[in-house]
Amino acid sequence: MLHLGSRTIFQRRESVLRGLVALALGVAGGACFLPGQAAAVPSFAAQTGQPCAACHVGAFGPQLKQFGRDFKLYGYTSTDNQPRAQWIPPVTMITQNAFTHTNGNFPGDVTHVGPNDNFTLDEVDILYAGRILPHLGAYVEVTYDGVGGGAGWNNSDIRFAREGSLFGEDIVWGITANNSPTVSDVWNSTPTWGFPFAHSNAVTGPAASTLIDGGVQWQVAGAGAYMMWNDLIYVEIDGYKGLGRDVRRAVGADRTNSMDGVSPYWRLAVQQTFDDDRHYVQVGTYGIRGEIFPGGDTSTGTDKFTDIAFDANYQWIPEPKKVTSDVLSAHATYIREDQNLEASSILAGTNRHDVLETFRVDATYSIDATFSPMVQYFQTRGSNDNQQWYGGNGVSGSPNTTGFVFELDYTPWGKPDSPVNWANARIGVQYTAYTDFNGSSAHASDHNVFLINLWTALAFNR
Amino acid sequence: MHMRIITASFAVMALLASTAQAATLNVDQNNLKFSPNTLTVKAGDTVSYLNNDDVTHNINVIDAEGDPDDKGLQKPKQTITAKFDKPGEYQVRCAIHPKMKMTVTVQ
Repeated sequence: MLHLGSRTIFQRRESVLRGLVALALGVAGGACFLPGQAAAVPSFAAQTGQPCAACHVGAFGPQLKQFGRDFKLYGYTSTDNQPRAQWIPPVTMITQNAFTHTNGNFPGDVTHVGPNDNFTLDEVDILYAGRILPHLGAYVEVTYDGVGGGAGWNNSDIRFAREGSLFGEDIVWGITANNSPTVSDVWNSTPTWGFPFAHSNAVTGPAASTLIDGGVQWQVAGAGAYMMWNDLIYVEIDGYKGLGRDVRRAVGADRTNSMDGVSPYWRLAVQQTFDDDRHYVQVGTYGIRGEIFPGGDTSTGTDKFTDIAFDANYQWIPEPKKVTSDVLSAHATYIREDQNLEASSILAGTNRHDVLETFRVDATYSIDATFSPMVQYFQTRGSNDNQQWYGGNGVSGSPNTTGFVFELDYTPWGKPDSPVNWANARIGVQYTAYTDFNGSSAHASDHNVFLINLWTALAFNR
Repeated sequence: MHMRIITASFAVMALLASTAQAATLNVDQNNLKFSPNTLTVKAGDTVSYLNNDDVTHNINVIDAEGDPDDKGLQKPKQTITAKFDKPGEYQVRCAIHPKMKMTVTVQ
């Protein structure tokens, strides 16, 4: 009954012919293409005079290195103070094109695309990404969905940041207004900015995911405060309020369910570097508690979700002084969700209580900030509940999904010797292999996905 | 005549003394950090900043009143100098890398 699957908003279809035309237009237009998360932001590079590799692992987003995390903590406001065309705001255009092949054919799974072997212009994104005032900056993203059509808002975060002192140590503190839990986070272990960074809009992914793992993505407005103390301890508290259906229609967000009240989100993390910044370690916890009217039906009250998650990050940079140094970057997260489904059990006959657990671990080894092989193991496990996960239409009632992702990316620019710092591109080849898919291992490999994606980004404030 | 010689000698000594006092101290910028990150100098001394990173930095000298003196961009391997004439405590920052800062105390 209650489908909280992430990334459902853009999972629609397009014909092969339309995709080919879109691909050609996207590349010819000099735009870039971007799967799911807008991340490579040349307007940040133009604002700071730094190459993409200064902030990002592999010279392309969204994986952040230390300076990238700091840049976000300080509210996207750092600048090299150079006079540029001041009348041009820090705007970036990103496009994402893809070729997608699945082992099996799934006609009708996603509208506007063929049953297999689809070329698609997945997204065109316009971002305001950079400083507004000396202590106020923004990352606000509007996306055109090239597969399903239509436009809507994407990950957005406006923040005010200042420095101060607490207990005799330096702090950076700030206020954030954003539209998804974890969009404000500076680590790539949490859902919004987590691996895989590229995915295809031409396929349908697993059905079950937790509330914090994209379940209310872009359907809420949140505000909160954060603080990094002594470059060691990070604390953030936000509150999220569900947007009304009219507002969600206007911003292109999912309108299946409705959130009740204000949902608290918390984040606590500890970080430390060792060996002259060659090694970086972070461990943390985050979570949310939310109440949802399933299907927007208020007659039977709400379902209650409590997500408690833990995460860890590790980075090894053998030559930290060198911006194009190799980087090993690894992330892990575990999310446990307790679902009290009183409303759905009455309305749709689900269990009264379910549990859903997600575990993911991934690693990237970036070579000279140019070639980046990546691998991920992912697993979702949970209660047997056909109504909850599949609306009663599942092959089984189990939400279990397990698999691996393998990816190799090539980023030609974004380095100090690149011809420009206001444009970048990345081409990636990705293979997703399922050992279980939506509770079944029998035909799980039919859902295996081979994806070639081209992602380009272009800043206007050059 | 003796008086002139003595006066001239004092003048030369004073000049030499003042020249000796105005020193130049070196600070490296390494891995987005100033090294050292605290420095005590005498009024009139100069601090020379050498960018040993492979990305562009900036030197912004902020006095005790919070007034900035932006010395501009600093390409890799470039040096920027800052002369500190007035006693007080100064903060030197890179506008690009917000965590990159040092304190210069001028006596």
